[in-house]
Amino acid sequence: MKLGSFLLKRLLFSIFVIFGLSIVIFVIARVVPGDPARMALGPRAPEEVVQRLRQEMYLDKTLPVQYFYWISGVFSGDFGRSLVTKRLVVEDIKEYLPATMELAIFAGILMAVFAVLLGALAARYKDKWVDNLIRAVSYFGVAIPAFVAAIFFMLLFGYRWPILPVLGRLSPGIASPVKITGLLTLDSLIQGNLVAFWDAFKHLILPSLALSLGGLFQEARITRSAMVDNMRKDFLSAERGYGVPEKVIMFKYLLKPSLIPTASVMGLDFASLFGNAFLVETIFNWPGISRYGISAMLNKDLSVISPVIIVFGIIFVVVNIIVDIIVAFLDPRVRLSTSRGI
Amino acid sequence: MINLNQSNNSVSISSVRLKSLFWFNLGKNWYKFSRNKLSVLGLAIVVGIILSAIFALWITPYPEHAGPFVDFDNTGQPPSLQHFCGTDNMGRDIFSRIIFAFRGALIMAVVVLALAVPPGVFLGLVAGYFQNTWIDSVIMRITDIFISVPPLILALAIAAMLKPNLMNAMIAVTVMWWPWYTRLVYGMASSVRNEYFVVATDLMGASKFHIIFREILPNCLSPVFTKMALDVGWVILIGASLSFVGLGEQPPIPALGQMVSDGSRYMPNFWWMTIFPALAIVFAILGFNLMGDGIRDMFEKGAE
Repeated sequence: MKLGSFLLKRLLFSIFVIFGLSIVIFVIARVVPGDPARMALGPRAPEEVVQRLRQEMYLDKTLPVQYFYWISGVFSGDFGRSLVTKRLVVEDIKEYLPATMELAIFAGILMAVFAVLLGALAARYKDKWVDNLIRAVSYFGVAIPAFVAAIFFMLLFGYRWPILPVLGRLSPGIASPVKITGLLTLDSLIQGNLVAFWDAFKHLILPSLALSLGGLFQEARITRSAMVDNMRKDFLSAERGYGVPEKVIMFKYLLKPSLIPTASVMGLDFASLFGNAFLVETIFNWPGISRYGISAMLNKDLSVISPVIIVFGIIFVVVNIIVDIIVAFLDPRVRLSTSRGI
Repeated sequence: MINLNQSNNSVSISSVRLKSLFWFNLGKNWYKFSRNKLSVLGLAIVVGIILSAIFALWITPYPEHAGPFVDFDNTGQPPSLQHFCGTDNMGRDIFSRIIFAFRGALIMAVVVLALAVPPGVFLGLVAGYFQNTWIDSVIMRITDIFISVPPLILALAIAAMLKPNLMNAMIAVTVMWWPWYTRLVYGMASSVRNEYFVVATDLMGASKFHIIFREILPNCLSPVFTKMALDVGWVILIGASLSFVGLGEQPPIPALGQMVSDGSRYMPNFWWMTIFPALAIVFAILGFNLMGDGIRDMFEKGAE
């Protein structure tokens, strides 16, 4: 199958999934007990005000009609207003999303680099002390929830040995760079503002480390076992027999095929990283969309919860498409097969 | 008539075989499980946690502290022989509260898996049996939708829309959990479905019900059990995450995530209020993960 038609198929499927997700979220939000209008205005608001809001939110219409109004708003980029802050949800998302993206991308880079590095090291020195150490640490790494890791890091490197900042994205005295991408490290680099870059970078380390930990060690284990499996394959003996240098064998013939399972799991982990970001951002006071989402959830702000979840759904399907492309690049069987559907 | 008898025979054979496989191989299974000492360690941790949760009333030094109890003379005591893990901001013994909090965590794991696995497996079987029909498409596309968001996000959203308590946290996680089993069983069932023994049973005139539950299901069970064993730790993790943001068991009943979150307000001076519940979470998840790995080794075909 050509990459183009493969992508097109994936894209159509993703649109379907997001559309379905919007229905699921909408239905869940509407079937839970409680009147959203009443919840938004509080128990002491007069009945006629609540009634007016109900009409504004089309709550007096039937469920499919409500959904139609809501989804047509979503398609025109209008997510409505927050019931609590009365701000435009779209504006809020634009403001908070870059912070989360910066955190997630950085955590994703940490995850990918260290997972492959540790996995390859462990496989290279299989059953030696390096391998045993990495495997032992991995057991703990997988078992530590992101929010627990966040608290440990905060306690150790923020309070016990205060070497890294633990709150927010920038230190109070440092002016934020002019917004271009919204990613502070990138913006400050583009503008040559090294002071801001270094400060923003330091703020990134602990939250992204806490986020990446679980996935990192899981993938390290997968990389290791895939490499160990492949080491026994005949094609490696054949290459050794031909006199291919050990380094070339290691990187080109052993590491590359061993990364296929890692890449697939990494996609899932990268997505669940956004789930954990909900807690980690709250702990580190990181002004991202997850912290925004969780405060909306705790306030039962339904008109914010649904768009935020859809944004995460979109991120998830995009990540999945990228992972599929990476796997296709690593695995010629996928790239060349003609029968593989979505 | 002959056909009917035949299929009845195969019923009894397959169910007897299933039972005997487990019991007669107990020794062999234990050998496979215990070959990895870490699995045995995991099992020991799990048994320890379960027993201490059941007998919490008798083994904890201050069982009454796991409820509405206040002792202002003893607030914020550091760890000592009287209080292994110190006391919290209400003067309650943290060790006792951790043991009681294991109850909620275990109940959650059991209830979520008990509620999510049967429908998940059922839908996977049905979709696999009716593969390439509209039933397959409907079930699997709905599954895709539920899998399209990280489970924690949707669980948080659902739990937040409901009243915060353990019950609703369990509902929220259950709603997110079944699709993974559907997808797992679907893959198995759609390949088993085309095996000759299934085709043969079909030709003998066995009912759909018989084929799905007596022929296909037994062949899909071991990965399901393996996944369940590995999932217990995940459910505990998600439950702790929910209770960390206040969407689980409500105070004064202790929950692990809730204790971490309450304690973190008194960091760094009263570090024990946070660290010990946090370590308890890690310890529990570690135990279940190690045990799950052992069970996977046990069920894995060809693992010698």
